[in-house]
Amino acid sequence: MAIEDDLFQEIQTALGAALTPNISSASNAWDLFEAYVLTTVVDAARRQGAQVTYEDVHGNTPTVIYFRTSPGNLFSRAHDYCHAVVDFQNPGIPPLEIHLGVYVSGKSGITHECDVAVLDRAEAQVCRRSNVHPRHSSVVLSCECKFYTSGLGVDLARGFLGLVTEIASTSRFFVTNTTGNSVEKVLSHHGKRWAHDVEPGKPDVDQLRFIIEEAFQYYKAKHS
Amino acid sequence: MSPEQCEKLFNRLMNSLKEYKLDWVRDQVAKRISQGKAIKKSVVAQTEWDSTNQGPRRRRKATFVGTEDFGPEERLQLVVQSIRHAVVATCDMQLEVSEGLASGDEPRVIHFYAEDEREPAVVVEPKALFAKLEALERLRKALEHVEREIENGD
Repeated sequence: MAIEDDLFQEIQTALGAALTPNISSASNAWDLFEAYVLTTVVDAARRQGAQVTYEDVHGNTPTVIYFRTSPGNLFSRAHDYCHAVVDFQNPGIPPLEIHLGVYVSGKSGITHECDVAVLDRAEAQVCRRSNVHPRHSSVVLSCECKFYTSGLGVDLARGFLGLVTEIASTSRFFVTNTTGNSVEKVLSHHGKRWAHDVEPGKPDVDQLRFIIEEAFQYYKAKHS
Repeated sequence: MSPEQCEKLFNRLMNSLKEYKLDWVRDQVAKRISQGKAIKKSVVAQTEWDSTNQGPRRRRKATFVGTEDFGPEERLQLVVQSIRHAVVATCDMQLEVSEGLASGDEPRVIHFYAEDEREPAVVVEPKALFAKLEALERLRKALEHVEREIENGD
């Protein structure tokens, strides 16, 4: 048999057995990637000495974690959506919450989606009580997550530049599982921070964790 | 592998993606290929217009950005990388997410819900993932094998 036939058989057989039916669309993969980045943020918080717990929108401790598939309101009770609570165990350092796919009101008053948002917990509690969106000033850190299987388009960099103008801070990260030279060039040219090749087992995950830890370090120092 | 062999394998893998209902992966590969790759080219550029002589006054080499088609080896590389991202990496991510959000030592079940849906769009179930690990390892090795053969050339 020709080498290309052997290789095809090898992949075809393994592919059929390895497929997980739950990732059947690009949007499923995006949701999963956002959760993966959230897990990395949680890990970075723990490495910075925080105790991280989970609660749902009602304040209960969940057994199964519920996340959003598309951007939504932090205060939504459509499902028992969950978030992480970050407590640095120092009364001087205000606790934080980590959310997936929530709207935040920007400088212009228009709402924007933050794929992963680390917010002031007191602000998040007000939002849940009053059915309002968190303000951009309460976002300590956020990640714009992009999962693609074959490269990134430069339009994604343009979208990110628009977002950071509205929700400005130094701790806004463009995070992707792949690479895109043009995207990286545009973001670097404008002094924006990004992390690429963020996938399990790749060294770039450590790089992402490091820059997030740095953001938590600044936050702690500011309140110590 | 020769360019012809790479082309043949590429086409068969693209068909496999369709067969396994991975059309979203196939679409992304096709889109990337249609966009081509950006390359830098040094070309002679006309820098000034001489209105007296009705022609360029000076010519100088300058760097321009152009677009080129991907070759057969690069197209095969693209589809291999895409399968790795879409199947291997997403399974690894599911495991890491359910372990990263664990309650004690128990990996967590995770449901993703759209606000207006009663059924979850995605369920991450650690037990179902553990059953896939052996096949995933075989797929990982098969993809690496293709990449080695591309690297080795004819």
